[in-house]
Amino acid sequence: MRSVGAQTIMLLGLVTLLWLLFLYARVWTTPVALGVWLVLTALVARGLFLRARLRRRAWLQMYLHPGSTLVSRLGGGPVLLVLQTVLAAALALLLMVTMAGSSNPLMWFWLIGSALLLPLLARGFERVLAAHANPALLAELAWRLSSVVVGVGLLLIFTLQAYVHNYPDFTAVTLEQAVWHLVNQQQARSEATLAVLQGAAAAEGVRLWLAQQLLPTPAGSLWQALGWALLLAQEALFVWSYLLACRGIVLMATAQGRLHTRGGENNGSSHAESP
Amino acid sequence: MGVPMPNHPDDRTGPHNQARTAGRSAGWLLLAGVGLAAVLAWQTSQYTQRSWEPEQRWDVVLDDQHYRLGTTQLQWLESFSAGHFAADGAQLRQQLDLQIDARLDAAFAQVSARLPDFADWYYSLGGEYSRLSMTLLGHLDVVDEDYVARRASAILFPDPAWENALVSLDSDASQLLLQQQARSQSVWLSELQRRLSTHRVPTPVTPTAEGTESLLLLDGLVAQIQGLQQTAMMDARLTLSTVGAAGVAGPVLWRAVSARAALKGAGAAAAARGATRGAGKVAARTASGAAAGAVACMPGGPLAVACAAVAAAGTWIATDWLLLQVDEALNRDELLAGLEDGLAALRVELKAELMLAYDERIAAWQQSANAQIEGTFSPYSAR
Repeated sequence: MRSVGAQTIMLLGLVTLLWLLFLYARVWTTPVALGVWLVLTALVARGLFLRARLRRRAWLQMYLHPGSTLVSRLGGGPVLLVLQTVLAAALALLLMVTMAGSSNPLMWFWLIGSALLLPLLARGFERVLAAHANPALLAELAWRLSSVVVGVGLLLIFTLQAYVHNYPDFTAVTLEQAVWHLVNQQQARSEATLAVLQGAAAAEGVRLWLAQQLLPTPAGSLWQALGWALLLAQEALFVWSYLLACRGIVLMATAQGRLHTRGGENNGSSHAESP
Repeated sequence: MGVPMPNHPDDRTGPHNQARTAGRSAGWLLLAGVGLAAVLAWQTSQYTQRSWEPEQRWDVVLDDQHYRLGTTQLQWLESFSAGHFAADGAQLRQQLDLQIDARLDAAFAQVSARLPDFADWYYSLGGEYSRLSMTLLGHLDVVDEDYVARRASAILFPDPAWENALVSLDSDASQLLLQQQARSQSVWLSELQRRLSTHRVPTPVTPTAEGTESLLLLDGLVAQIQGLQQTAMMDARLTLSTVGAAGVAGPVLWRAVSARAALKGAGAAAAARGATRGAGKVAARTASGAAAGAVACMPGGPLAVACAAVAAAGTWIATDWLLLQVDEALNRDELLAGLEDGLAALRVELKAELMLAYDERIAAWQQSANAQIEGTFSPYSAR
């Protein structure tokens, strides 16, 4: 496992990549956009695949006989990888769109803060849980716990910022006007990027219009809950995809990414890498 | 392979030293990370997102509908509008030409039907004596000359009928003009809306100010072109030509007939023949009248003079009638042919004048429409 400093630098590299994405998203060409998307997809897929295999192994261990041939067959191979890559591609796209359309400068401070905090928290959890957790999965458990803490923190912050953010007034306009208002503001050199940004803007328009049309009138908890659920879901997806990308970049050039690929044969290898 | 030896305090390769070195490098890395984070935080506050300036788009407003067009599409819209009115102008000319032809044919057929009446008058004793009297009075400056031309006007172009035919022609042509202009404008507008429909966008949430550079109000152009239509209706006054007026058509026709006769009779020869004919008539009438009076009233005694005068007058008139019959038998067809030719020439001239007048109106309408189109589009297409 890499040191906290190395992980921090790698995470800051990811934040830098996201910041550059934000800076140049509207002027880059389609091949560049595709390249960035592929990189982010690879990072997110790595984090997703690792977690999916862990879940699969736990399920298999619980329900199947250890000697069954199904254990190796269902242990998670190319099919699972493809499925997770598809999901990762969608999450990476969401991450890119959120970054490109971001208008909140404070977001970068929170992301940089998370890049500093995540490895430190993970190391702290490792020490606390060293006597209790499975040594082979200690690092993963610690990282997941720190991800939960940082993720919840980011989610709260972004939700609060979204709550106090000034939105255009769509109370007296039609849904079509609201969607067009936001779609029309999107400009990008790359046609593909423009299409994605406009699609995201259209979704944002629908969400804002629904929120402004439905929230004030019924004053019932159902609509409010639905509105907030939508907002939270969007922010949660963004935070989730970001944390998955963080996990993916931290796993780069370590053996942990291959940790569970062959059963428990490399149990302890992660410990061997620990400083 | 052997038993590991305990580390010597000076041994820098031992596990403790390795751990210390690793911890130190980790600390440096963490410090570098913090420094990098600070630099990144500072950088993120220094730069803003790079924006992309796309092709200029125009917010076109027509009938309270909003459309989004690029410069190329705006130029296409301008050329379509100008081309539409130019094509409709040419088509309108053709339609007017056909309608005026039909109406002139009908009007001149009626005039042509009156030609025998004029010839009857011309070769009647009344016509002969009124011509002679008016010629004499004309020489004495008592009345205007061109008596025959005036009679031609009165007989061939009777005042209410001819005037009404021309007024009806002009009214119908003006009506056609206005209808076609209105239709042209309506077709243009619907075609404009059809072509724009694929570029329709919702009404902006924030109303665009009229002075905004990217706003193009086609409603203004439509109103201006509708204004042209109103002006055209106000300006749809009688386009009757000078040639077509009843008081002018007759003299024009008679002059054409006289000119034809003069050309045919080779000028002086014809004049001499006319003079000879007139002098011959007078001499014949005088001689025959005097002779007839003397012969018939010889036994009359004191009433012989009165009797001679009556007999002479009767003989004069009879001779004159006879000469007129001879003249009619010899020249009536020629007169009618001359009148037909004159009518044809008059029709051509009248149609040319009418078409010129309508052409001017169509051209004025087209020019105004083009000016409005150019005025509307040029500030945008020039950018």
